[in-house]
Amino acid sequence: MLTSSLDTDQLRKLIEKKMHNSYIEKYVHIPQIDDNKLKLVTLLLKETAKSVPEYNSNIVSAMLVQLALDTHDLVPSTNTREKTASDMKTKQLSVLAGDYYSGLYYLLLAETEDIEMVHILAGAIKEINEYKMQLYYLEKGSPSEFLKLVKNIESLLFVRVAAYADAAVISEVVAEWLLLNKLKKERTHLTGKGVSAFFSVWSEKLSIEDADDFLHIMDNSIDKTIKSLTTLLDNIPQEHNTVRKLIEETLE
Amino acid sequence: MKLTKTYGYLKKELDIIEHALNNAIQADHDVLRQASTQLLRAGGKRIRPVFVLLSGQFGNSDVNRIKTVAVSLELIHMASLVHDDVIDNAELRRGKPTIKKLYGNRVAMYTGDYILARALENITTIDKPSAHRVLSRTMVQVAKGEIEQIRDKYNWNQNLRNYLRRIKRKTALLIATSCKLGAIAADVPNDEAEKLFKYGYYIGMSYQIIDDILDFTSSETVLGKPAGNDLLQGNVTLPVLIAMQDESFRKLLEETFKDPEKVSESEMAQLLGELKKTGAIAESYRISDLYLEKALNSLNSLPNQKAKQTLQTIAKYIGKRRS
Repeated sequence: MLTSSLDTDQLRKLIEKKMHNSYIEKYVHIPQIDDNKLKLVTLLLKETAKSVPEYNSNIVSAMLVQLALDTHDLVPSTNTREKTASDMKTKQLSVLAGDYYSGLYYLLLAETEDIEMVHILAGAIKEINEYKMQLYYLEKGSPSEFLKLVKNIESLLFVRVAAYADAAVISEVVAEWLLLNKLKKERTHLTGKGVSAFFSVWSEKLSIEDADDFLHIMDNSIDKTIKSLTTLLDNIPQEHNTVRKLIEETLE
Repeated sequence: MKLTKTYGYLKKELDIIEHALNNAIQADHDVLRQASTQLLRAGGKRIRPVFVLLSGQFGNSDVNRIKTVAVSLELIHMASLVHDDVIDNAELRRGKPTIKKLYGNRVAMYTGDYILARALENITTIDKPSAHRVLSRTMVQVAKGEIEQIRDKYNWNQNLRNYLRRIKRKTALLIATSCKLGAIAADVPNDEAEKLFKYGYYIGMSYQIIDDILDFTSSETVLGKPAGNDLLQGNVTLPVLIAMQDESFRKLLEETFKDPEKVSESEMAQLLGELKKTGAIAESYRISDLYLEKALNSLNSLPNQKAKQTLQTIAKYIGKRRS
């Protein structure tokens, strides 16, 4: 088993350094690196790499894919021409930044000749975009249909990495946990800032107009997900104790 | 003679690639599949697969070996077009409504990401580390080139070096990479693969320079957009850079674009008239010809065969393009 010489902070800095482009950063509010996802992918890939540089490069690549997807989600869905030159640049650079990060993950893995990992990550991107299309065209679905799609979009990249790392057995735990994190994050957004892009999509798909009704549904969903996750954690195999510990820490 | 006639004998191979392209984008989601196939059916010259095939003819030219490479390169090109239309708010491409226009930004982004992912999923079935190094470097450079293009808009102080680097990244590298990957897939010796890469690079440079010239010299009917549109969008291309060496032209240019949102048709017409008087068009053609010459020289020591003749013919065809 490999131990990365880098901790989460150092890995985050390494990713930030890789993707740094001052012009993009001037106009685009680059999505934050999700610490939980970073820690998860670090644990999952521990068994797979042949060397520490390869291990670090695999972690950075997976996170670059996540950031590429998140950055493309910043492109406004409205199709009208942007009002200011600055808004126009923000949109244009959000498109190009996502493409740039995609190129970077491929380059990193091509340099370490880990072509199988490129194949896995590209396959995950393909499937995630299929789910994004399903969500985009979902008409008046039930909360469970909506949440199933959100869960797939949030977790599929890491589920595929888990399978690559011979840890497919914990796929469902990983998926439930990432859904829970997403729900909690969006709830904090909504109650703290009063806005949530996630809420807008959900309320549109489920025809919920009242924020309190939405919070009620969301709290129910969070409770259900915690229950399901707790059951799944009880049955997690011994060899995945590190992942269980990571998840349990966030539940406390 | 049409460009497609120069490689008409590759029709069987190109049909196989077309079929494989169609198979590669059969998404599960109806709209995703429709959007992707619609883009494929809109056509295009398939110039990248042609370069892959021709370069492959210098080695083991079994189409099934190099089909994968050709399909991936065309998919990468297609994905970039879908995203470019979001960047430019474009409503038409090759005379047909863009995915952005028909389905909106979101679907265009998902479609571009889906097609790019399929391209990489496809090419990673090839176990050639050098091919992946070349292609991944090119993808990063292409993205950097597009970012620079946005950064450098309306920047009248950029120099020839900026421009050449930008068109290298924007156009030449993907053509050069098509040549090289075709060669790698067909086990062409390294030194010959490198010559084919150089040929593709020089051809790409020449092609883009001529494209930039045609933006000033061609008609709206041919271009599908007003003459001088690149400049109107703030893109400083070779004819402008050369014309700016003339002080009075530079002054007029800066005056005209004091507020880029408010440039009138008559002001543009006057500016284009002045640009043509500076001799910038002829000088731009001269520079394009230099690249063409280098492209042809790159082929000199390659074995004499039909593919070599075709690459020479394509180079000459590109050089003569005047509309």
